Amino acid sequence: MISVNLLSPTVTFRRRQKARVRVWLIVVAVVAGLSAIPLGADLIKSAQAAALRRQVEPLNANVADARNRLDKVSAECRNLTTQLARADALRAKRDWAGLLQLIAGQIPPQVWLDSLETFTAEAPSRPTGSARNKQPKNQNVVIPGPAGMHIVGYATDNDWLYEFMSRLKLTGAFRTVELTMAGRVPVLQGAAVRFSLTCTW
Amino acid sequence: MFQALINRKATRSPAGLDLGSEGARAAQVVRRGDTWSVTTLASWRVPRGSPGLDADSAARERLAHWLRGLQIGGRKTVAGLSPPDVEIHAMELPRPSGGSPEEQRRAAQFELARLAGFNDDGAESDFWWLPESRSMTTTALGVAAEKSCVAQSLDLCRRARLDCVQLDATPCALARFGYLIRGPAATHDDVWSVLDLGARMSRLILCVGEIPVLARAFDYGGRLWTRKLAESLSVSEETAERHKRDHGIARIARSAPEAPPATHLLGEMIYNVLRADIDAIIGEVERSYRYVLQCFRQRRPGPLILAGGGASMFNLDALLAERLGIEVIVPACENSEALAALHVDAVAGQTREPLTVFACAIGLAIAARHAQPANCGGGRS
Repeated sequence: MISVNLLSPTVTFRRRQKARVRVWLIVVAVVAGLSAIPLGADLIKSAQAAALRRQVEPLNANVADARNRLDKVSAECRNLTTQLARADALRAKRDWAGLLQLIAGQIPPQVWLDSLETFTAEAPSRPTGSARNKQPKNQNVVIPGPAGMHIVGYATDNDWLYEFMSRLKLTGAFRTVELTMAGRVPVLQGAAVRFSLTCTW
Repeated sequence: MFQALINRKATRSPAGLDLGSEGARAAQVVRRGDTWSVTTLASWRVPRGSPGLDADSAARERLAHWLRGLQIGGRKTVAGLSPPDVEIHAMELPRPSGGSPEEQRRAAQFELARLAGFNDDGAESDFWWLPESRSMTTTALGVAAEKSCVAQSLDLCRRARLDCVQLDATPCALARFGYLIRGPAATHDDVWSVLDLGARMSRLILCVGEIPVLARAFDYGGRLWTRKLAESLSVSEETAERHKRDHGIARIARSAPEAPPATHLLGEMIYNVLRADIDAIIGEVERSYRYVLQCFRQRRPGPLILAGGGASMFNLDALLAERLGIEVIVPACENSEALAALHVDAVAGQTREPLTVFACAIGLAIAARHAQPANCGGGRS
């Protein structure tokens, strides 16, 4: 079948060139589009990360603030615990008036006291090196208190001294009642037995 | 088997776009092997009162808008230019035995520039070789169109967002349409023709085999006939157009014993008004057939295929067959079994216009790429 074409070769050439350019543009657009997918995904992820970072910054500040407050509260807590321990320790203070009244009640008439003196127990030996680290920290506050008392006095004779010691023991207020020193000494125009007792509880 | 597979594959053609002065027709076809199926038919008319597409830029803009909305697969088109926008000239060029195609092209270009009556702007041209004949000195037919006209068509396609892949001459398209509906076997040994009765002009294309060998254009167009009828019958052009289509023409034998019906009387009135023009067309067809048959003596006279809007005029085919003594074919969707390689079943109810109106658009649609010059060296010039 006969067919003619009145389009000039220039027009045909331009049309074909345009079609080729269009195809290339489509190809480039498709390739660019395909390449843009991971890039876009990265950009989205970056944007999300930035947004999360922006959200985290105030949270970090809040955390630091909370940590400071926690430190303060912890310090306050420790302080209060210490005070409570002290209060407990103070609550456990010995009833000295009662003790003196008890001792006074046991003194026979032939015995008189010269001095009463409490003494503190020897401090326990401090652990060394790794043993110190291994030991758990004792949170209780230990206030060193008197472990016993020295009683110094006079008795007319040894029997009354013995009587006095027996009475003290019988009270049950002392764990031990030991005679540390006893000897006759001149007193006024006569002589008396000077003694020293060590009582522990 | 490979050929069968190729034949089974459907190939969609670019849309054929027939741009007339009164409107435009578009068609798209799908090729399956040796048969073609029309898938799209659409037509558009210029608004009433418009001087025509050539002189009305608003109408061209509306046409471009219409084309933009048209469902054309691929958005590619083959536009067609008709006489008088294109001139077809017989040329006596040396046969392509010795010269190179480039020399032949230049020779045809030179000859067409000499023959064509266009101004100095130049013209776009092409040509095809005719079958050899000892009685005919013409060896090729050349087609030329003014560059401004080509540019106008391209501009319209561009505004319609269509890719114009080819600008063909409508006589070639009509020849292709006729060849398609007759089939290769039927056209093997006769001289056949297509008479396109358009709104502005009528065109006659005589073919030998599949090659147009003579193209004539007359000023007897459908619009002129409508005006003549309106003047003669003292009716409006719309009424005259309706009478022309409905009643057509009728010849009443004076020796008939009973009185003819009223419709026949109106048909005879119309015939009497148009008689001179119809006689002139018949005379032109006769002369053309005689000339071509003299040139190709071994061939016999073949049928005349009617195309264009005027082809649907009632009784015109019978009158032409009676006066010319040859078969006159009016292609129609209703008798689609008579169309050899063209299937129109898919578009049977798609348009109210007759199939003949779309003959040129269908011919253009089967042009590009698939149309391989058979025994001619048709190339650009």
